[in-house]
This record gives sequence, structure tokens and C-alpha cells, in this order.
Amino acid sequence: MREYILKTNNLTKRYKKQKAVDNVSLNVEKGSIYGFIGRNGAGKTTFLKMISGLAEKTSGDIELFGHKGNEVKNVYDRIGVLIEAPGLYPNMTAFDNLKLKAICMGIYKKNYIREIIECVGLGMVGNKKVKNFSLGMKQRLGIGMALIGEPDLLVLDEPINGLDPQGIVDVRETIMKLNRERNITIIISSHILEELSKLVTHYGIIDQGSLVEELTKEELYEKCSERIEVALDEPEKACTILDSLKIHNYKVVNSKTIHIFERLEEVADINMEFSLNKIKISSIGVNKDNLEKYFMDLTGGVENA
Amino acid sequence: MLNIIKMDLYRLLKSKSAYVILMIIAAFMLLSVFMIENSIKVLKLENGQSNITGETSDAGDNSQNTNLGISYDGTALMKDHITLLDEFATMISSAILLLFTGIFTVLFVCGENNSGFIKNIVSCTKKRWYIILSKTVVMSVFVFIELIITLLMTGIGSSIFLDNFSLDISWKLFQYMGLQCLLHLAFAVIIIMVSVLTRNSAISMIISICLCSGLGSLIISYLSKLSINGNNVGAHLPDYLVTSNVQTLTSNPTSEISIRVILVFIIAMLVYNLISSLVMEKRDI
Repeated sequence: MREYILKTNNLTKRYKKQKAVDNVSLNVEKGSIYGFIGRNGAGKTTFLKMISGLAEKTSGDIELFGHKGNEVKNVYDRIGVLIEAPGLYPNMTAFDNLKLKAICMGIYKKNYIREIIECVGLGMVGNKKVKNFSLGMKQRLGIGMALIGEPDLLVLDEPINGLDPQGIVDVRETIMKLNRERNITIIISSHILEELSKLVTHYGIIDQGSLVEELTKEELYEKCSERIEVALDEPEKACTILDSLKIHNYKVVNSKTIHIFERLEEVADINMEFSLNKIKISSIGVNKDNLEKYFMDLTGGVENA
Repeated sequence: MLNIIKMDLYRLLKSKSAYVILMIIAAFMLLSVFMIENSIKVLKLENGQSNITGETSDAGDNSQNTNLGISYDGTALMKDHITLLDEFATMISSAILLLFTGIFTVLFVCGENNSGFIKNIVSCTKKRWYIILSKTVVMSVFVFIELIITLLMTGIGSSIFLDNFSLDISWKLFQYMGLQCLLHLAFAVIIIMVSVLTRNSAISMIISICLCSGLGSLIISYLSKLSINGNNVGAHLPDYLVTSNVQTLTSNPTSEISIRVILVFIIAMLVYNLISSLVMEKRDI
């Protein structure tokens, strides 16, 4: 049975007349890396703030670690948060920033801070003040801050924004290591879809405050994988023909479209077989989507991206 | 709750601005003792001349006026023997220490918001009002250190610069120090509220400076003179302002004034902390 670490039910946030988050119901499985995709102003950050206890919800329910209602407040300390820019005192060292949060959480273990610093790859910074850190170092320290208190859920909002390629790789590796070695469930939002696709196991796509789609990596892979796309009038009849051709890996997408995921090189033969059986084909061809195109199609095209 | 207080105390310990402000206070107090001594000499000289010509000094008659700006009233020091309490009271009543208290409060409270560090701790605390309480505790520590430094530097400065100074440490000195500690803490609580409400260092700083310079007292004094249907309802309102109490509290307060100061402190702590806590509880970070 699947164990969910976070469930939201019709979660809504309204600012005056505008709904920033509109009836979002999503589920985050334990141990997963959940990619939260949406364009600017889609409501990602507001949603993440609500589940982290930084913002009040207008309506709806949040279930965190099995706790509901007012009990949720008692488990917020099991969430590590990096929302928007990392919250760091610029005139302090990485050690002091981490120490402050450790004191706040009542953690006084010896070498605890050093371990966190090593874990996020900042072992070499010494007594350098945070104001002298690069953006990537600040982001990694922000992740380090979120790791204080051994969280079960890590909420990372755009952690790779503005980073150089090396910074992106470093942050990605840190996130994957945390998920793999510490079994931390991670919710991560990002605009860099291709980068996100290297990390996440589940996707939630949000647009104009509403959750448009929630799917696993495999489901998305299937949707974006190379396939023969057939536009036709009689999909039921076409299915019989595909079965007779011993093609089983196909999907009826809607009443006028079938996607075939095997024997892609035999597109001409399949087309001929349909014609012989008097099935009217509007179009047939091999297509492949990437995550970006899929996201664009789902959220209303290029003008919205 | 104790953890968050410990965290803020650690931050105070690591705060460069705290040390800078305390050093400035120390230097300022030494300089002030020297300058007041010179002013007293000039005042004595002028008084001597006016006695000869028959003019009267109105230096002692301005107690009912509202002070605007930060200035020292050296008339309390126009006597043969100056005690530590006299000098200390003159320093504190200038509201310069109040100004430094306000500046540090703004830096400390707004620093947490401006840096975004508050995002790290809000989810760790069971109740958000603990954050406000923690700031109040830290400010009480800072105000206490400020007063100790002021006392020390006033004592050292007076020993160096004043000829007729006696280091007379009495119960009254500690009573006065305690009452001023309460008033300064009450002022810090007001500035915490302003910082929480505005979330803007510049605005909070300006409000703090305006309050210290007596602008708030001046406005309240003016308003209190307005009568409604012939009744002057707010006539005594200025007596209950934190800033005017800091400036008018004498080195030898009556029990009535002491009780009034304690009352002002309690009300400020309850009302302003309550407002800050409510805002903190309801606000999205």
C-alpha cells in the first residue's frame, strides 16, 4: 500500500478577490521526489508556503505525516524549507547560520553542524561570511539550513534558479544524495524542466492556481516517448486490426487518436493495413514530445510559458 | 520557547551591530560628561553675571514644556557636590540612550525579516508569538547592558572630568536605574511592534528617531490640550507616555511617579506585545 507523506484536499489561497491557489488536491508519496511545475505566478510558491506553515490557507485541508486539522501545526518542524531565496544572515558564517537554526530546534549534538556543512559540500568555506558566498554556495547553505532537524520532507522552491551549470549539477547531486541516502521525501519546484526531469519521480503541473495534472515519471515518459500518432475516425475497429498485427503496446488517447509505442519503423505497413480495412486515416506519423512541449500543451502554449 | 530565546541570545552575542552600538554609547557617554562639565562652567559664569545685573534665570521653570530633540538639561548638576546618580540621570534623561535602543531594536528585528531568516524558524516554533517574546527578552538583556555601560562610563568620565564629583552608590541609584530600564524596555517593545508592522528598517528607524526626539510627545501634548465639550479629557495623557517619562523621571522619584512608571511599562508590554503577536500569528511570511 502506498504511503503518502502529504495530501491536500481542495487547498485554496485567496488574496482579496484573486485565487492564488485554487482547490489543489495532490498526494506526495513517501520517498519520492515530487516535481512541482508551473509558470511564474501559477501558485507554486504560495502552495509550498501553505504546506510549510509559512502562509495560512483560505480553505481546504492539509494532511501531513498522517496528521490533519490543528494537529498539522505540531509536525511543521518535520519539514525543511527552502522557499524563494535562502534565509541567511549575510554577516555571519555558514556555521553560525546553521548553529542558530540548530539552537532553535534544540539540537546541540557535537559535530552536527560540521556534518551538515560537509553534506551540502561547503566543507571548504571556513569562516567566510555568507555575504561573500556565490549564489550556488548560498543555495547549498539554504538546503543545509533546511536539513537541520533531520526533516522527513524537504520543500525546495526553485533551488537551481540563477545557478551556473556546475552549480546546477552540485545542487542536483545533493538533492539526489539526500533522497537516496537519507530517504527524505522532496518536493521541488522549478522552471528548468529538463533539469527537473533528471531528478523527479512524480510530477504535479499547476496552472493559474489549479493542479492540471499529476503523474509519475513513467506515465510522463510514456506520454512523451516516441510513438506513432494515428488520427482516425474508428478507434475500436483500428484496435482489432492492431491486435491482429500483434501490436499490443498502444493507447486510445481519445475518440479520434491512438498512440502506438512499438514497431515505429513499420508506420507505412500499419497505414496500409488500416487502408485495406477501410479505416479512414486523417494523419499518421512518428512523433516525440519532450517535457517542455508537454508542459506547454498542458498550460496553454508558448504565450503562457 | 526557551530554544528560540537561546537562539536570539546567540544572535545577539554574534551581532556586530550590538558591539558597535555599545562602543558608540561608551564613547558618547565619556564625551557627554566632558561637554556637560564645560556647559556647567559656562552656566555658572552666566548665572554669576545675571545675579550681578539682577536678571533671573528661567532654567528651572521649563519642566512643564515638552522637549523636542535630544538635549541635556544640566540644571540638576548646578550644585556643589555632584553624585553619580545626578550625572547618570542627566545622561539618561537626554534620551540619547533611548535613541540607541531604538536603532538596535530596528536592526535586530528587521534584520530577521530582511534576511529572510524568519522563514527558517517559523515552522520550528509551535506558536509564532514566541518569536516576539524572544525579541523582548533579548532587548531586555541589551537594555540592561546599555545601562550598565552608561553607568560605568558616566562614573569613569565624571571621576576624570569633574572636580566636585563623589562616587556615591546608593539604593536610589539602583531604583532610578531599574525604572529607566523598564521605560527603555517599554520603548523597545514599541519599536518591535513598529518593525513588525512595517517590516521596513528605514520607516521603523525614522519613527524611532521621531519618538526619541519628542515629536510623539509634542503631538500628544497638543492633542491633550484640545477639549471636548469643555472637558479636557486628555490633560494627563503625556504623563503616561514612555518617552516623556524617560525624559522627566527625576533622580529622586516619589512613590507615585514610580508606580506610574511601572504602570506605563506593564501596559506597554501587554498592549504592544499583544499587537505584535497578533500580527505575527496572522501574517503570511
